[in-house]
Amino acid sequence: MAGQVIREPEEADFERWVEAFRGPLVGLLASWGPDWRAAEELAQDTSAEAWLGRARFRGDLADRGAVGAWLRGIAFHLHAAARRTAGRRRAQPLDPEQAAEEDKAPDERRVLFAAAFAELNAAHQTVLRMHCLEETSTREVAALLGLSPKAVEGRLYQAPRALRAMVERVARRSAQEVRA
Amino acid sequence: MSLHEEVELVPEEELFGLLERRRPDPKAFRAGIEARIAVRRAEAERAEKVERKGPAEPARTSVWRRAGALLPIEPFGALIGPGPGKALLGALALPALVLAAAFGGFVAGARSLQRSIAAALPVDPEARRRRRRQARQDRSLRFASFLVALVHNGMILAFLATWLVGGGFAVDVVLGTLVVSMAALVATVRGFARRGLLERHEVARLAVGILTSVFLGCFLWFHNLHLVHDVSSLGIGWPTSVVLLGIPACLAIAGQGRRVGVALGLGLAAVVALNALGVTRTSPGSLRAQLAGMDLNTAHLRGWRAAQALHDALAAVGAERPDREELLERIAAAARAPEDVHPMVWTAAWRMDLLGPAEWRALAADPRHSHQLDQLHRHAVLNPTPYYRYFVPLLLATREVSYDDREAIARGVFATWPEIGAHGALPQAVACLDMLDALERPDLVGALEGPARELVAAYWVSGDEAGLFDRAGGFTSNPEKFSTSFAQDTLAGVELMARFGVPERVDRWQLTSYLRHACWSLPLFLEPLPRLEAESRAALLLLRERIDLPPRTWLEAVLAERLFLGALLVVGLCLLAVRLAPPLPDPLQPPPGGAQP
Repeated sequence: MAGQVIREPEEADFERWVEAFRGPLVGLLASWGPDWRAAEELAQDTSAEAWLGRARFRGDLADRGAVGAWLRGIAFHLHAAARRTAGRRRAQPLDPEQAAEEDKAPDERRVLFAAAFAELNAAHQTVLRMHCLEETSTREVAALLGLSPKAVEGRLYQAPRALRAMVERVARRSAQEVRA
Repeated sequence: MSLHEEVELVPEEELFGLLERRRPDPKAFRAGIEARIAVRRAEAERAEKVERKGPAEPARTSVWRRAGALLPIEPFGALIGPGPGKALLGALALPALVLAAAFGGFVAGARSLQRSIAAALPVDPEARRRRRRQARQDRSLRFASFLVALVHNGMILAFLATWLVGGGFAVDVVLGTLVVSMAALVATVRGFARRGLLERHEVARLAVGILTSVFLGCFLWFHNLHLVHDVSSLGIGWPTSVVLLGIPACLAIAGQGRRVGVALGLGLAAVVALNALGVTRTSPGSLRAQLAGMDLNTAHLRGWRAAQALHDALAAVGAERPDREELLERIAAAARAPEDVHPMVWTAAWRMDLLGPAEWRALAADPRHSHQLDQLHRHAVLNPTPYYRYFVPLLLATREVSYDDREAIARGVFATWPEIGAHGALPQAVACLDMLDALERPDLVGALEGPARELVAAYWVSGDEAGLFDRAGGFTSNPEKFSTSFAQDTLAGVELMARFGVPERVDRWQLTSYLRHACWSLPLFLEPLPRLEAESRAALLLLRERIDLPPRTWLEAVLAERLFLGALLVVGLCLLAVRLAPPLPDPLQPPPGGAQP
C-alpha cells in the first residue's frame, strides 16, 4: 500500500492480538487437534512464537486479515510438528463422553447437545468453536480461517440451523433406542 | 415439555454455554505465553553459550550410528522367506534383472575399455583417412552401428513393448536401451582401437553422439507421450538432465573448451525449456496464486470447475485461500439476475464460500430455482447431475425443512449413489457425499465407506492393463469403455480415498507418478491456461497432504530409481571412455625421445 510504514509489532499490538485471537485460535486448534487442553497449549505456543518472531511480520499491524493469516501459518506449522511427533490423528468432535465424565451429574440436555454437535460437519463445528468460545466477532474468525467475513457469516447462519436439525435427529434416535 | 420440544431452537446462549468450560482463562493464558517466551529465551541463551564455546566433540559412536543409518536394515530380508517375500521377489524380478544388467554392463564395459585402449594401435594422423575407409569392414564397428541404430529407436522399442506386454515394462525397455548404448560405446571404442583410430577427440565425438541419441531416442518422447509408468520419486526429468549435462562434461574432458560452453548452454536451456526437473507447481502457495489469478466470469462456464477444485483442495489441506472480493461482488450481482448463469457456477460458488444468506434468498426467489426447490422439498426429487448439488444447501438455507422432509431428502440423495460401471461415477459419488455433508448425515456417509472403496478400485487404471497410448496410474470415467485416466475422475478418486482410505488395488506410487506428469508445467513455465492442469494439481496436493505414501524398502527405492541410475551409468561410462582415450599427438611438439638431428 502506498505510504504504508511497516514497523515491528510492539507489546501493545501483541496484547491486542492475544485478546482478539485467543478464543478463535483455541477453537481452530481444537478443530484440528485431539483435545481442548492440547489446543490451548498450542495456542499459547503460537502466541509465544508470534512474539519471538515478530520481526518477520511484514503486514499492516492494523490489518486483522494479515495478522490472522500470520498467526494461522504459525499455528499450522506448530500443529503439524506436534502431529508428526504424536502420530496422525483425526480431528475429534466435541468429545461428548469426556463432557459427560467431567460433569458429576451430567445434564441430559447438554449431553444430547454435545452428541449432536459431534455429528455436525467439520466446517460447521470449526466455525462454531471459534465464534462461540469467547463470543468473538466474525472478523477475527474470518482472518484465521482465511475466508471473507461474509463467508463466515454464511456459515454462522447455517451452522445453528444444522445443529438444530441434528439435535432433533439425535433426540429421536435416543428415544427410539429407549423404546427398543 | 418433552426433550424434543425443548430442543426446537438452539439459541446462541446455549452454544456459548456448551463451550463455556472450554473457555481459556485470559490471565492463565497470558501467563502461559510468558512462561513459553521465557523458556525459549533461556534455550536461545544456552545455545548461544554453547556456540561460543565451539562445537561439541561428537561422540565416537554417533559417527557409526550415522553411517549405520545409511545402510539398509535388512537389505534382502524382504526377499527371503515365505509369503510376502516371494510375492515381492516376483514383482521386483524384471526391474532388478535389468538394473543388474546395467551395473554389469557398466563394470564389464569399463574393463573392456581399459583393455581395448591399452592394446590400441598407435594413432597415425596421416593414415586416418585410409583407415576410416577400412574401418567400414570391421565387424566390431558394424555391430556397434547396429546398436546405435537401436538406441536411436529406443522409443519405438518402448512403444512395441507397451503394445505387446503393457505399459508396465516401458521403463525397463528404456533402461535396456541404455544398456545397449553402453554396449555400442564399448564396441565402437574396441573397433577404433583395432584400426588405429582411437584418440580422445574421436571418442568424445562418439560419446556425445551416443548421449544425444539416448536423449532423442529415449527421453525426449518418453516424457511428451506420457508413456511413463513408473514409481520413481525423481521422475523422468532427472535422468534426462543427467544425460543432457553429460554432453558438455564429455567435451570438457576432451579439452574442447569452445564447444563446452555451447553444449552446456544448450543443455541447460533444454533442461529449463523442457522443465526437465519436473516442476509441478502444486504447493499450497502456488495453487493459491493460480486460483487468485483465474478470471472467473459468471456469464461463462470457463474456469469455474477448475477454481472449485483448487479451492476444495486448499480447504481440505487447511491452507489459506485467496481473498476474492471482486468475485463476491460478481456472484452477488449474478444472484440478483440468475437467468443466464450455469448451475456449475452456483455449485462452485457454494463450495468456494461465495454465497451468503442474501444470495441464497435471491436464488431461491428465481422462478426456475423455486420450482426445483419445490420438487426437492415436497417430493425429495433432485437432479443427480453433480453440478446441481447446490440445491441441497439452497433448500436448507432458505426454507424451514421438517425432520421428516430432511429424512426423505437424505434418502433421495443417498439413492443418487452411482452403481459400479456407470459413466462418471466418481464425480457423482463426490457430489452425493457433498450433499450428505450439507444435510449433516455422517451416518449415511459412513455407510458409504465400503461402496466408495469398491467404486475407487473399479475405476482405477492400472499400469499393467493400460494400452499403447493410455495414461495409466489415475482413474477413468468408464472402466468398460476407456482404459485411460482423466483429470476430473482422478481428482474425484483422490477425494474419495482421502475420506475413506486407499483400496489395496490402487498403487499410490503409480498415482503420484501419473499426477506429477499430468501437472508438469509447460516449457519455461509459460502457462496461458493454468485451469487446464488445475484438477490434477489439486489431486496431487491432496494426495501429498492427506494420503500417506506406503513405505518402501531400501531395495524397492533403488529399483524405483533405476532409470536415473541407468542414466548415471551411461554418462559415467562415456566420461571414462573419453578420459582413458589418448589425446592426438601434437605435430608441432617433438616426440618423447627428443628432436631428430
